[in-house]
Amino acid sequence: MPGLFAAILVGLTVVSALCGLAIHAGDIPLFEQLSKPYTWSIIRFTFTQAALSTFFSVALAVPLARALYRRQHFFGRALFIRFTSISLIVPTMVAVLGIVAVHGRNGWINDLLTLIGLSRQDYLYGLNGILIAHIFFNLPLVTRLFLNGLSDIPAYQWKLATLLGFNSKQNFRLIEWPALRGLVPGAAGIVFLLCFTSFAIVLSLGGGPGSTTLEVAIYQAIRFDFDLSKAVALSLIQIGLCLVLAFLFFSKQSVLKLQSDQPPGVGRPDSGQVIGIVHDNLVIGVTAIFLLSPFTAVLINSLSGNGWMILTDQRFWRAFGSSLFISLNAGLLATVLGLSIAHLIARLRCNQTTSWLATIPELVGMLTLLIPPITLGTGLFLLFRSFTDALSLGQWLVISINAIFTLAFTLRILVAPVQQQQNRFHHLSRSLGITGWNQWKLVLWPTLKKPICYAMAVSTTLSAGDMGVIALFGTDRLSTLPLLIYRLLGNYRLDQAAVVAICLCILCLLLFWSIEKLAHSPAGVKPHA
Amino acid sequence: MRFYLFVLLLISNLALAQDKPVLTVYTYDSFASDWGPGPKVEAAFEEECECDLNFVAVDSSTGILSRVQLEGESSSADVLLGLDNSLVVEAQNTGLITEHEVDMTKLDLPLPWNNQKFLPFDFGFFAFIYDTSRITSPPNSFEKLLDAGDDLKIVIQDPRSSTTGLGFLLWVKSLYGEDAPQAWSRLAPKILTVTKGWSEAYGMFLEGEADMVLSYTTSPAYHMIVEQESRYKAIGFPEGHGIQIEVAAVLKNAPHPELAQRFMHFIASESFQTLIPTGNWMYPVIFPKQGLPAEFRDLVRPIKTLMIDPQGIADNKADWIDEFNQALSQ
Repeated sequence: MPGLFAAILVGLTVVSALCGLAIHAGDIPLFEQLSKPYTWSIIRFTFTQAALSTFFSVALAVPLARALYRRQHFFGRALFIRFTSISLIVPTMVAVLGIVAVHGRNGWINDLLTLIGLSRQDYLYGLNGILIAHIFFNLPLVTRLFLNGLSDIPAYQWKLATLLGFNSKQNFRLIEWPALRGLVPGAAGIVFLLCFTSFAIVLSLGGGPGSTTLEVAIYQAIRFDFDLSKAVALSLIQIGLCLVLAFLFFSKQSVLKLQSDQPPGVGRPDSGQVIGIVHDNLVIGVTAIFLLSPFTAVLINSLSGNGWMILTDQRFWRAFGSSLFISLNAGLLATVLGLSIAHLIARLRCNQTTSWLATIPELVGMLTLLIPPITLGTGLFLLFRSFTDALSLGQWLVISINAIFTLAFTLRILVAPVQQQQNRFHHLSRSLGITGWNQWKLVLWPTLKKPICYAMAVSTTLSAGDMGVIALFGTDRLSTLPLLIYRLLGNYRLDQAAVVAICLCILCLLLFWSIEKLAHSPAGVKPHA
Repeated sequence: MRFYLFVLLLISNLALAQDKPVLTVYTYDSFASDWGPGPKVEAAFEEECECDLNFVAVDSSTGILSRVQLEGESSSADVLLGLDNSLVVEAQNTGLITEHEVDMTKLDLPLPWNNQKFLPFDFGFFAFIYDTSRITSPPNSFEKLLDAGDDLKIVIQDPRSSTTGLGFLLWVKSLYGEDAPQAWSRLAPKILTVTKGWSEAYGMFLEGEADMVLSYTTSPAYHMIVEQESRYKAIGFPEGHGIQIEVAAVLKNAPHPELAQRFMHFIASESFQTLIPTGNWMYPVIFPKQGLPAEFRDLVRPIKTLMIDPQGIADNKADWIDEFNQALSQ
């Protein structure tokens, strides 16, 4: 049974990595770490930035979702909403670079300030920069969740509101807020966990002594001090805190949907008011500028200046090649693992007596979100280092860890369709005796090709844009495009970094588009005559 | 797609398979970069060694050490180039380093060096650089820097990731000792940001983001020689300046031990050393016969050189860094 094998493989990899690290570390000074004031200031900062990021993302998403819901027709609305659903797969380093170009000391905002005669402000580095980047990534996500929640408000409620002559405030208090309230804990929980474990953003915009999170501190313990026992202790603290948080947020699970099934367009009493129109347009306009300006800045910076020189540099092409190689392999691996585990979950759920067992493989998929990838990578590296040379080992480790970490996404995409497919075809194919390759070719692929390709597109694109463990194993010989952006940023070659960022975006778009397109090709089965 | 990937993998493997022996040297990125001394060093050594010199660039000097620790005895590195006096004991304690065979009595160092495992290849003095077209009277002593107004913005490097940052920490420590935490708190409001490496800090300074940057007394020579620009100056502090001595070492498990030793001799030779002043922008450890470039004569030369004994650094580094972190995270 491939599903069981896949789940065990993932579980075993995680466990053996942790053991590998623990063995090399010797004793683990958990209490010694906890007694240090600096550890506490790291924990405090990790919480503070996550809490503030969550607060702002959720608080700003409410008016934005409302405005988008109230304005069903404006130019670019569909595009704007499409953007909110893909913001999670935008490569972090591209956004970071764009944010530096807009908000840095020599960025657009400061250029504007000097134009109107004010002095330049340094607000980017440290907490502010981290918050800006976290809001940039999470505001669209939360807005999307809230917009779907609002879209599910039944039409009769609005008719009632019209009859009763509700004003805008009453609409919000009595109709919209009740629809959103249930979504807030789940949305806030996801954002909080994402920000709590955020790595690349904190590393590039913070990372100094005053703005280090646990995840970055683990990286620093390994990369700067090579203090493995400290790294293990910090990892344990992080895993423990994440488990507690996950339990708090998700024990009462609310349903979060990224796709809405309600048809849009319901007349509501306050959509014609002038104040409302001005307010909504202002909210949408300001957020659109906030979300789009970093991309525009990167694009403009890449076109001006002579950053194009980087394209003649072999470092660029090495990074490009590795990015392609790593992302395709990781995407494929994540999809295969995801499909197998989804299959296992579906099989277990089919049967009343085993359905409770299905939570175990589900947890295996989710557990990886709680364990710092850096810790996992180091553990595996120490286990396997005597078998092969560092360069090729590094490459395969990055692939496996990217695959394990995008597994949560592929599982989320695949479980529901696999379950449906299972319910429809399981008995039929069993009675017809279709198994193995035939089952894949005749039953699985035709019915599941869309979600499979979507899952692979998402996981490949995520891997291509990821800057996690590669930060640990990267040298000039083994580098990916996001790492190259990070390094160029570190050398203050912003023009070259912008060019690499544009190339990375193009690569991601091409990967996403071409893999998703695989579902439309008639490969495997012949079309009906 | 799989086929292309297979071909790709094959090509990348073939590229590594060559008949000449490959000497692998781990170094930091600015040494190996196109504008650093790396390419010239590579060409000069390959001319005489019948080998292929392969620089693997890690993002920082501390990165070189942690990289080798991560790889352990299975590391493919032969030589480490770019550790410094603040890291030698830590590096030695890994047990991964072996002795080199170079006679160090011929080296011209401002301080005696007697660690047989590490070969100094250049040295420099830490200093703050400012732009004379922007500030006319910078603080001209360490005390005045600490007392300066908070609108004076400086960029320094993280002592955990950058040897310049660590050098600065040791500089402050040798001046203030037990009172270092107070010195850090006085300095904190003036620190615009703590960067991971030297390049980022220096880049920010050149772009005008900060008034002063922590670098070396030799940095202005770069601007004078390469850019014919004399507006960047180092500030001489009467309290004295911290020194950095950069070193190279051979790994005990080096795949090519003889070649590695040969490279160490090359480092202490005229052909390597002449590349240092205008390549790595530091002082060479063997004084060139034709003298240093004229621009080096105009540089600030410290009245007093400060260096903490390497063993003391190894014993206390963690605590001192905690002290620094604590003061700056308030």
